Amino acid sequence: MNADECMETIKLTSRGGDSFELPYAAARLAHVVRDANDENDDGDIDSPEDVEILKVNSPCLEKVVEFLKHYHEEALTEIKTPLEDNTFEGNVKQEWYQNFLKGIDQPMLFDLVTAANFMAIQPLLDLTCLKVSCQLMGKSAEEIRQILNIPKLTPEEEETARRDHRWIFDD
Amino acid sequence: MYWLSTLAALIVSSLVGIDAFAANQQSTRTASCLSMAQDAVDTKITTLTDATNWRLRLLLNGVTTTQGRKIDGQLFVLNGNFIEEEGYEPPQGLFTSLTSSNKSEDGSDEVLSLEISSSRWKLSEDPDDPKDGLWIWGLFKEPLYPFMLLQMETKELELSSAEGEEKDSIPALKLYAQINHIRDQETGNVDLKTADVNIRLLEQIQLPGATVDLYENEKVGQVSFQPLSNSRASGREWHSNTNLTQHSTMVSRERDEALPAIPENSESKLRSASLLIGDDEEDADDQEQRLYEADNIQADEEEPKTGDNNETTLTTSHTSDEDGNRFYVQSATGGQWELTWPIWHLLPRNERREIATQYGMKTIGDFEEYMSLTRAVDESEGIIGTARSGVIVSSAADMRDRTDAAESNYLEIIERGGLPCTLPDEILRKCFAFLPIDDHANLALVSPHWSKFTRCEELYKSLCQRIYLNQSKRKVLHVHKFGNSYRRMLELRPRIRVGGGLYVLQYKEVKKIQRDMWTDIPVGAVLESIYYRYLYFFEDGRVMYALTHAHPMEMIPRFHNMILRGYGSKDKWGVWGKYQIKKDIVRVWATQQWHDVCFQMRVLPSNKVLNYDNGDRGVCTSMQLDKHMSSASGNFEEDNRYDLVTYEVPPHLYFRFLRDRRL
Repeated sequence: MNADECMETIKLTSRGGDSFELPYAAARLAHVVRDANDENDDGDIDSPEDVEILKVNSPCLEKVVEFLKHYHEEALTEIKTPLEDNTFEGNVKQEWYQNFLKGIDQPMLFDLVTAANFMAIQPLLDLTCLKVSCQLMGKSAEEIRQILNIPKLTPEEEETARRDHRWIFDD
Repeated sequence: MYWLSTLAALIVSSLVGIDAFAANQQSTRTASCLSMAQDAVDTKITTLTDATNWRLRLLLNGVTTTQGRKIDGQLFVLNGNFIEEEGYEPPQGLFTSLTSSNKSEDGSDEVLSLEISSSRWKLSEDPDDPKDGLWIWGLFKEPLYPFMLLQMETKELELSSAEGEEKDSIPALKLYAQINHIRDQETGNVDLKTADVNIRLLEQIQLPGATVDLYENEKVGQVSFQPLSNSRASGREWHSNTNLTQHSTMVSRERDEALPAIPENSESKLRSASLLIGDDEEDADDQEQRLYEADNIQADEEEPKTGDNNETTLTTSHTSDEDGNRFYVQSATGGQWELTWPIWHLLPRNERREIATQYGMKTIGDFEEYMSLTRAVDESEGIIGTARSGVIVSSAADMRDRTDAAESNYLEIIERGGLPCTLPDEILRKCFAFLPIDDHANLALVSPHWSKFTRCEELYKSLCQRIYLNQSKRKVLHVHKFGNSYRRMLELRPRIRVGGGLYVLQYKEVKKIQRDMWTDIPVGAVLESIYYRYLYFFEDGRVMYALTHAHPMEMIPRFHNMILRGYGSKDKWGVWGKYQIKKDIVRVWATQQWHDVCFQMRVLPSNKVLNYDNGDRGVCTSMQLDKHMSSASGNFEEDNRYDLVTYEVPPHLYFRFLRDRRL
């Protein structure tokens, strides 16, 4: 049976024990699901099984499942580099994806990045990474430190950093 | 015996004298200076500053009252001082009256006071020569202005009248006087001679398409000047390098005056209206007055930008006149010393030069360009990474407090560099790959733990590919030319800054205005025109170009809009084009509505070569314009002669890179 036409649903279980049901065709975007089901190169499987995603917590997995379901209906257009614009909205034109990451807080965003990485969902990883980099874009070093909550450099460290980057700093 | 003792006394005294001289050389010199200063006060040098009070005796004898009566021999006495306005050549300013008292000729107790509603004086070399006033700073010795042109407007004055009669009054007058002005070159003492006072009879002549104002002087009286006491112990001459005390009083006084409202868009008008005027026609004077007001408004408008505490800091800072920071005030954000731009033009030339050098600039012009461009960018972040550290520290501390309560493992995170540092390296690399090239500069300064992403050949390689393959339209990078090091390649190979800001070329020229019978521009007026060429480079070889009068403040949002709407989108000024770099030569082709233009520029690896700044802006932030061509057919081949136009490019025209986070 080809996975693309598989109408069966599977359940993804989070670390908290909550299960989220979604069509297998949507879930197989995550490589971790494919691997768990021994999907071969031709995309043939027998009958899909539920997967436990123990590294991802419930609220995050809920978001991931939401993403997978929607992606199955409307795929994310590829993000072109170099970027067209320095805002997230300028680069992701699809409204749903814009809203998907709207108003989520920093920990959640980073959970999503990690989850996307762990579950090997390439489009989600692209999207969330773009979101992260858009937060950093055009910011001064101090602002980035503030956004990411990183301690300040010592003067010596700054000195070294500047010396090591003569291709940008004209020292 | 007697002569011996006197001799001894003489010797002793002379010895003591020598001793004293040797020991207290310094103090005696100061003492002599002091006594000289004392002399200055005693002899009362009269000047055209607020240091001298002048008594004006105004004798009116030809004025017609509202009742048609001729006034004969009415004397008005005005006390006041001449206050020079800074920044004008020839020197000019206002006459402000202190108290006005009046005595009638025969000494009776009739008290009338003549109030001045506005006044203006101007020194002049020759009132009949329209070129007067185009005297150039520093070329000659300071000119001796033999004339002072004084204009005063008086308010309507009611005359006391006997009962039963109708009220009689002297109407509001506009008085003009050309006074002989003598200034002693050594002492700076000013003498003003008695002169005739005129009113002007205006006659408007209607010509086809224009009206011409003619006037005739009619003598209405005489004015004489008498210096009173020096109001302050100061012997300053009007031309001396005035210090900040005067500037600050200047500013505050100007601000007190009621100023007419000015439309929003006035700045460009003001900019193009820096006129120098050199004749005494009435409309010229009006024009002058308007300009003067405009100047004031400009100063007023700019003032609030530098924070509300300016005024106070300004007045306190001038007391410590000798330290280097006297032209700087602390901005509202704290920590940062910012130049009070509004008073910049009031500063004498040598002080401006000093400041320019302090900022690493070679000329005043460069510094003005630098400042005006930097101020155009929001939060004026021309300097990478160094600005505003003071502010952030405090807010970072706040944040630390907040997160402290929320997260128990805060310390661990802060040690490892916050949340994103807990992400796997490959994800971080992916995040950073989205960033514009020059943002990597900031990343490098963020955290030393990020060196893996900011300081490795792998990253350098990817950056080189992004930069050079696109910019030079090549397929392969010859890294062996740079000792197989991509880092060396980045350091040595010239490149263009893409994104994150734009290149601006500011061009200023002073034009003589073509005068004809339809213009009401005064004689001798000069127009300063400023225009800009903007270039915004994309990583993929596209470019946006604009030739406009619009200030960066206005142009940057336009470019931003063009980027949002995508390639080919239209703008009033902005057009699209492409670019290519070969070695350090950049060529830009852009299509304007009427023709194609082509620029050839040279990337300058470091601004230090130009003495432009101290390398604050980073590498490759200046481009020298070498060639400028246009062609209607868009064909720039060398052998294409029929519609290729090559423009002469003045030397030392530079495109400066201006960082802006909106782009």
